[in-house]
Amino acid sequence: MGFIYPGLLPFSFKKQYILMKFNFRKYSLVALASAALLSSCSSSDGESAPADTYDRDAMVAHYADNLIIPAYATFSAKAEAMHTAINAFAATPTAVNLQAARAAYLDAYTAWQDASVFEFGPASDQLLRTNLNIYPTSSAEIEANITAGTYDLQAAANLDAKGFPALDYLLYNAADATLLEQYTNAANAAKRKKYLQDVSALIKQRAAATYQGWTNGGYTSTFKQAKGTAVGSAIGSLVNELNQDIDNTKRNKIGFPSGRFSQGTTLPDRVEAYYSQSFSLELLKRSIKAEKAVFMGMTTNGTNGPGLDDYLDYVKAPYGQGLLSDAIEQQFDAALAAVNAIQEPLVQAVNTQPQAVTKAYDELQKLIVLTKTDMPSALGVTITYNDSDGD
Amino acid sequence: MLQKLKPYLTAQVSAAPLAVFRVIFGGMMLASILRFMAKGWVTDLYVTPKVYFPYYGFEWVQPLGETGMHALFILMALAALGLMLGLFYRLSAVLFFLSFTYVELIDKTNYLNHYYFVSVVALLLVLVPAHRHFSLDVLRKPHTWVSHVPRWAVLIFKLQLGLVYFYAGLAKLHPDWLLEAMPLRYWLPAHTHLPLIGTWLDKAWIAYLFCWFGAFYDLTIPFFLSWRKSRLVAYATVIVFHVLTAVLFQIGMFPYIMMVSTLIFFSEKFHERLLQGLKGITRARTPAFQRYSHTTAQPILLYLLALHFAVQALVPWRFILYPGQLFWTEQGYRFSWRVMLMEKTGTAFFYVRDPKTGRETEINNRDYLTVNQEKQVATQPDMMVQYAHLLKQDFASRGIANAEVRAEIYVAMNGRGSRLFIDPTVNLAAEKDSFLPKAWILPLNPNTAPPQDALGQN
Repeated sequence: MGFIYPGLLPFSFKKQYILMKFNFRKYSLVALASAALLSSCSSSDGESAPADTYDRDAMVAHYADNLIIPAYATFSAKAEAMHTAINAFAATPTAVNLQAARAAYLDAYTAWQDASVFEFGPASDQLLRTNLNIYPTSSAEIEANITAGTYDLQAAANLDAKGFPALDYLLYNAADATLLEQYTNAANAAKRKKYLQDVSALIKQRAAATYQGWTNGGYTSTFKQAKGTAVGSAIGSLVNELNQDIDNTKRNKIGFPSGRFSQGTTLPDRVEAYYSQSFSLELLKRSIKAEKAVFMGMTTNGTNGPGLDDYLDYVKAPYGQGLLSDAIEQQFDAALAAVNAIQEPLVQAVNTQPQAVTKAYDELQKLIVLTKTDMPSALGVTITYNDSDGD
Repeated sequence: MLQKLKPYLTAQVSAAPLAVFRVIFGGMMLASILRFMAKGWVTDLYVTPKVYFPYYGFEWVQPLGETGMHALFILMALAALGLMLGLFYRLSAVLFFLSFTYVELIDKTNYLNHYYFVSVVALLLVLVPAHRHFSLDVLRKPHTWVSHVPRWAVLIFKLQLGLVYFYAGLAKLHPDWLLEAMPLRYWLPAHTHLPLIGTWLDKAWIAYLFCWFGAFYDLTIPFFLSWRKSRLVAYATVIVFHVLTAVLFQIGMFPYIMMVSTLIFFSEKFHERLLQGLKGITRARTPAFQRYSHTTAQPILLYLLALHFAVQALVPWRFILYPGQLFWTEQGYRFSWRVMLMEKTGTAFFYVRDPKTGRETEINNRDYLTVNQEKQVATQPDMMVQYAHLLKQDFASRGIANAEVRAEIYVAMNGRGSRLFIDPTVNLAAEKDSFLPKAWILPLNPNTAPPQDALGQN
């Protein structure tokens, strides 16, 4: 094609003059190239890319095939196992079955942390973040629903009466003996079992539907075909939802409980998995690790494939004296280290170790500055759906 | 000087170019408005937001509610149709200018140079007799028909278009653009999936080529379009240039508006033949004699237009009056045809402090702002002040009087790593928006400590 300008940079004035002189010829060349561009049918670019380009398609495929689909496969399987365990417990509410149900619940909740980044396509259709993890859960609404025996768990009013936080309440709201009592001899035992099963069934359904959307539903090819970096592109969705997820981690998992949004008044009951008390930190760490893995393009078995970090290196995104990708990776590690330094369960730590909790929050805040400001900027990822300025 | 130029400016020229421009511009506006409505943007931009960011001095411009806004857009569409058909022309032109400009003044979040361009052209259209040739008004009142109009009525549009291009070109004579190929060096590689040209967009030298060519194009195209000998090639370049920008960037209707508006540079013959062709289709007949349009208000109009173009020529230079780097502070950035010059992204954390208790709370921006608004607030100082006042008001309504608002804002611009943008200790709610320089904007200093060192020390 006649698009190639022989020199490298038309830096000097002399060269600019030459550029002006030959301009009309170049005009016609550009015109030709552009006409060809207009007439050529869209979609796949048949030409093989020059060696020094970054294979974005391979990166997107790696995310879809090796990170996203496996994450939903695992999550869906764990949700299924959880539902089986909960059914077993409902059928035979023994202490052993309770422990099994709780273990399966924690397993699924953990797998959810690995999948929550990918809130686009099927997950967005299923509104997974909203349907599965709104907390604090409303014990009052849950109890009212149980007592009533009829409820619409799909209704917006029940968003804080379902999902994992509701399971957390249903499985942990009292000491083991009392809790077993709720499911055996208490007044609404049968209705409570039904509610427990309904909540877990809904999680299982939505997890399965999301997984199906990626596999049989054909979203994988939609995703791989959504090229570029505009809103709705694969890379655009990944970057924006990764940022949203880090923001949720910062705000919901630490910010609200530690009083950041309530004038310093701590709100321990706003921690994730409040009723089980001891899992909040584990879930928090898991989500930061998952977000880091997404950034790095790291699979669960530790294979570091082509990821956003490599893409940043390819566009030579700088930060200070070094690389932006390194700065972000280090900041993920700093955030994880800060969370690791919190000694007690978060529900207590917000009051007993405010400095450690604040430190974790601040490290996540620094991370967001890098991932939300520098990263989209360097990758040309847009966050608006609107027209922007240009000539 | 105007006296000397007057014979030239008032000399009679063919009315065809002006009539064609009216039809094309009205048609493009109608299409733009329908597209805007079809995309649901009337609701997204002017109904659902909880707050708005009016321009300084135009705080009285408020959205009109869901029904009101849609009615306003329908009125705007009808006015654009009136422009296109030349029906009730003056009324249509005035209504179009007012409705369009009103909408643009509601929220500076949505500021685009090309919306400003539309407002300016609409204002100019109010002043010219574009409806007295090839229009329904002439069908209604045949005695109003003219074959010729004074030269200034056509010239002002060429001048305005030329000014837009030239200033857009001047703005590109910036080290970031010419020496770093920013922001194109970041933007072009995002389009490597495009057929044919895609594989080239990864190359740094292509970004440089685009930058230098873009600057050259903007600075020279008005002249090449004006010169008869170069006009055809220049217009081919207009098409190529704007098709490229349309393919590469998310800029809506603007490339198409420019592609058809620049037809006004073509000869009278060209436009007459164009109208002849259209008349063939519509079977309209026109008198064979000539008739001139006379506007009694011409002398005053000419002075007003001279004033308009003086303002147009000076406003883009107002940034000189402000300290600091224009791209960084954005003081004097708007209304200057600075397009596509910056990749600027910010992240803003706002904090509201109750002066009574001394306790501070972080704000979830999305509780107040739309995605677009949050994005703009994070880089534009005047909007930060407006937002701080909105927060102060909201907290006052919830029983916390005189709340103090500060913000930690990090901005990355044209490949420079993110850094603190404003003084994070300043109470923005105590600042008043004005045209005075904002002393709390931190300088764009390449040696500013990265956020790792700056954050968490307050």
